[in-house]
Amino acid sequence: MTVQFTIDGLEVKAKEGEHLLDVARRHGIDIPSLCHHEAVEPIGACRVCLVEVRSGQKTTITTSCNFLVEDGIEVHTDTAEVRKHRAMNLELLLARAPKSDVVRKLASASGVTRTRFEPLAYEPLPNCILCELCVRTCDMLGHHALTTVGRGDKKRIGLPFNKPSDNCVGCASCLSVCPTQCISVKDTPTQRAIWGQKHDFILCKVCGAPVITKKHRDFAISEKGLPEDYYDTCEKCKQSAASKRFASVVW
Amino acid sequence: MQITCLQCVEAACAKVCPAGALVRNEETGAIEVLANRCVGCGLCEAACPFGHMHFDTQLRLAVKCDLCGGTPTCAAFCPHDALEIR
Amino acid sequence: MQAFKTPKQLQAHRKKIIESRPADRKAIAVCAGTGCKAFGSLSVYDVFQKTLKSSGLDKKWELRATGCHGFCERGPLVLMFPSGTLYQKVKPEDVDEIVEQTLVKGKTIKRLTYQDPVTSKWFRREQDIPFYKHQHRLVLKQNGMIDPTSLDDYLTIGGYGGFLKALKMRPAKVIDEVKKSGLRGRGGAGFPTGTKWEICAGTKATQRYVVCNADEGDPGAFMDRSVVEGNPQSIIEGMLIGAYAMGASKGIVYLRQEYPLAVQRLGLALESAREAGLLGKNILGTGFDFDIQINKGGGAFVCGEESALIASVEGRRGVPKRRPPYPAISGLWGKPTNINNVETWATVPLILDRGHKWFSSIGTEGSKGTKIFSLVGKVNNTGLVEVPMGMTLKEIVFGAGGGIPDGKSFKAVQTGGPSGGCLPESKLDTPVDFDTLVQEGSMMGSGGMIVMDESTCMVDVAKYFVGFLKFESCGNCTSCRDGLQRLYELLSDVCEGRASMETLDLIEELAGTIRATSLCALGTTSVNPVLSTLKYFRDEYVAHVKEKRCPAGVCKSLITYTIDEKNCNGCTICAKKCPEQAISGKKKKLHIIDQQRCIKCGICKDVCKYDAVIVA
Ligand SMILES: Cc1cc2nc3c(=O)[nH]c(=O)nc-3n(C[C@H](O)[C@H](O)[C@H](O)COP(=O)(O)O)c2cc1C
Ligand code: SF4
Ligand code: SF4
Repeated sequence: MTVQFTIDGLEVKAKEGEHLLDVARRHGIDIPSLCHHEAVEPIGACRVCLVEVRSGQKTTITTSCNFLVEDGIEVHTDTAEVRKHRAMNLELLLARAPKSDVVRKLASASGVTRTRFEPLAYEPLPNCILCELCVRTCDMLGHHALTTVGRGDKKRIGLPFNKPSDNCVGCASCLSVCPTQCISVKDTPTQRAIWGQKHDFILCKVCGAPVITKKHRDFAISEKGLPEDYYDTCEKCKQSAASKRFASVVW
Repeated sequence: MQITCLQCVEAACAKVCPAGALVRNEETGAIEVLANRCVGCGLCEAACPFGHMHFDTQLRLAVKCDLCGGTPTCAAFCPHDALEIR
Repeated sequence: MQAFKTPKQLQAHRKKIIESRPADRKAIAVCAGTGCKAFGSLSVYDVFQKTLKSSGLDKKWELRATGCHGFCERGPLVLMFPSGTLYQKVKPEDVDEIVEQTLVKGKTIKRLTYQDPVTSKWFRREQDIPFYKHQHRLVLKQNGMIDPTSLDDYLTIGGYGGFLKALKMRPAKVIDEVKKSGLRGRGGAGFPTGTKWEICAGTKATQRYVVCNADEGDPGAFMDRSVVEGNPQSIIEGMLIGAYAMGASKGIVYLRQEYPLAVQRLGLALESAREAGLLGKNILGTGFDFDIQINKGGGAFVCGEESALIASVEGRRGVPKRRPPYPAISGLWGKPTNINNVETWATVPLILDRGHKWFSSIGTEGSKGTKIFSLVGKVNNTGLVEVPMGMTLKEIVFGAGGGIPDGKSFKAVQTGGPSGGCLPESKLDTPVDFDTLVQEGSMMGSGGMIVMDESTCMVDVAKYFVGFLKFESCGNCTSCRDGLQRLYELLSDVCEGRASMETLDLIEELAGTIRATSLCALGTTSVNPVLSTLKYFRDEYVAHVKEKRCPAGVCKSLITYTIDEKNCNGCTICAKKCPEQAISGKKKKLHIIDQQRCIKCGICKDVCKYDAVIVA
């Protein structure tokens, strides 16, 4: 079923069950957010993607990432209330992640250039904003190698049972999706160090450059079914091999 | 000779992508990266048999030739008209 | 117990058992609730059992170990039927005398009866004691009348009458009855129960669930525990009625792990209900299948929130999820799931049995029936009180509660658990119902009620609750997790004399965002203690900020202990008791506190018999 409503006066259509933020972005309306990613379910952690939703007599401030669209609602993305509360949540996040460019940029776009709160000494991941994108992505990928630990002001991103997880394949997707890039991944030509353990790379059979980690490949083989030799050569060497092969076919 | 993405029918990159971020654009026929869905695992780069998936370590995203939405800039810019689209 | 194969068989058994146990039969009820047990009521029970047996009185007197009677601070409680005589603080040594004097000779032992600490009046009968007199006990009353492990006891007081009536109605009619009664959920939000049932029943599904929320995470609250421990069959019956009405075949009781007695009692009750054919397949031959399992909760406050509860039952981390979809539409494993509080479920059988008109005649326009409160703090009578909706705070605190002890004056009452607001004396006439409390900046919550006297610092109180909630927040939302942490820091600044007037503005601003933008009700209500105290006790905040003074003499950084020259007679007791040896002075000479060493523990003030220690 489709529903129809307005965002900042613009008439939009969407499917029932869609989330407001996705619909808005599809229509070119930007709502800032930090913990949203299309590949995973929204959880409404950062509280930045706030909008005002009017429905009948009721006006509520709500996060748009996890708001299911409804017929006939009136959405406003930039009211004074929205700006005020968004600024406060960003000020809280700025105190948590003072070194993150993304957070600083969003905050200053909301007029927040400094925070009135004390800096938070946050271990083990300074600048982590607890958006849980790393955990959610790792879960979505089927690895379940990360988790949140504790609750409330003690909540942290960590490892299940507080030790390096056998499930971790070293793909570093957690770093890729991390808005503040606060996860430590260190690559050498043969190994990747991540989340307290080292993973061996598969080395290109031609030039010896790292391709992906062995464990990542093994996971991919068992899950995705492509044979082992798909993963044994690096991008560049595959490219030149392909060029040569094609050249010999066409000419 | 330089070749570019073949937009394979049974694309290995799309097959291995765990996030559903590589999909075929039905209009141009090209396989495209939905950057908002890509979680930057790098599997596609490793899996492409022709070396045409690229994982950008700065952006931490997959990037690839998408035929520039149907009018590839490479073809337009080639000074020797060595590239054409058919 | 025999298995009943038809409603008729059950009805016949009920009739038989009610007739065989006339209401005026002689019985002794020893409270075996958690509170009285802690005071040793089980040994009182044991001695009774032995003594009755050896004297042959066990034929004449029925002895029962019952659930909680609510007046826990006076335990162990022994209640006698039909006379209604209540003995309190009974010790095993008292039993012989009770048997001899009261059971045999019918005499009252005055010292065991209750003396009102305010009026010094003695009361023999339970119903005359002010604590009970001001109550209207529908749910709790049954606790004192039955042995919670006996299904027959429950049947004697009319148990399963509601279920039998429901079975004669169409399911939609049952829902209609609950709707008409005006019953609203006792777990916090006060959502109309019948409407919730209707939504759940109206959602197409192959499987539906009913859940009893017995997580009860409010510190100091124990009304749900006492119902589960004292009358587990009433919850089972309520859930049976709900399951029948909504077409659910599975029930779950989400019960706090820290309530071992409740887990045990409910487990026994479920077993005897199963044996009697009241749970399981083809209940009473009607073709209706339903069973209940217990799910033990790990004790996180937030797991009482229904979406977090669902996550926890499904084996995920107990983190709230955005609603809608509401559990009634998509709950456990995506199936329609009706979640109600313990007290809500326990009220349902009464409504079915006595009819919606009877129920809706109690209470106010918008809030029907009675509500149990756990009355604690600086009040003469503490314990569980059940009162009709709409009773004023004053009647509860000064009526059932008997007012403030030690001649101190009332300062505030917090309703609704840790995230309730604190209402001042000027709001004592507020009728206690769902809507009025919210209007005044507090809430019903699940029924916590904490009374505070003049010696309470309201900033300190706000800080205390924010401290609890920041710890209990699931940590999902920036506003709740970081907001409460920051709010706590700001309130500490106020308490420790570091705050300016801007701090108060920031507190208000931050609290506004926590309230407006958090995902679940833990976050949105968490600032009630702060905003209500800022509203009603602003001058106290200002005194902390501007004069660096704590008017109640609580905030350690802002107070000093000194010894009054006039009152000190040099008894040396304070110097002896001071853990820091901060007090010096010769015998019969003025004593002096070394401010450098003083840790402001207040022991000197407590031990001084001459009121010579001054806090300022
Ligand atoms: C933080 C939090 C804690 C809660 N704890 C409880 C609880 O311990 N017991 C309970 O019955 N409801 C609790 N609730 C309310 C439930 O979410 C839900 O509204 C209730 O169980 C519904 O039952 P009712 O309609 O019978 O009140 C809590 C809500 C929140 C936000
Ligand atoms: S490590 Fe990065 S992705 Fe993970 S919760 Fe922290 S900020 Fe989010
Ligand atoms: S408001 Fe607090 S408890 Fe509720 S979901 Fe958000 S962080 Fe968790």
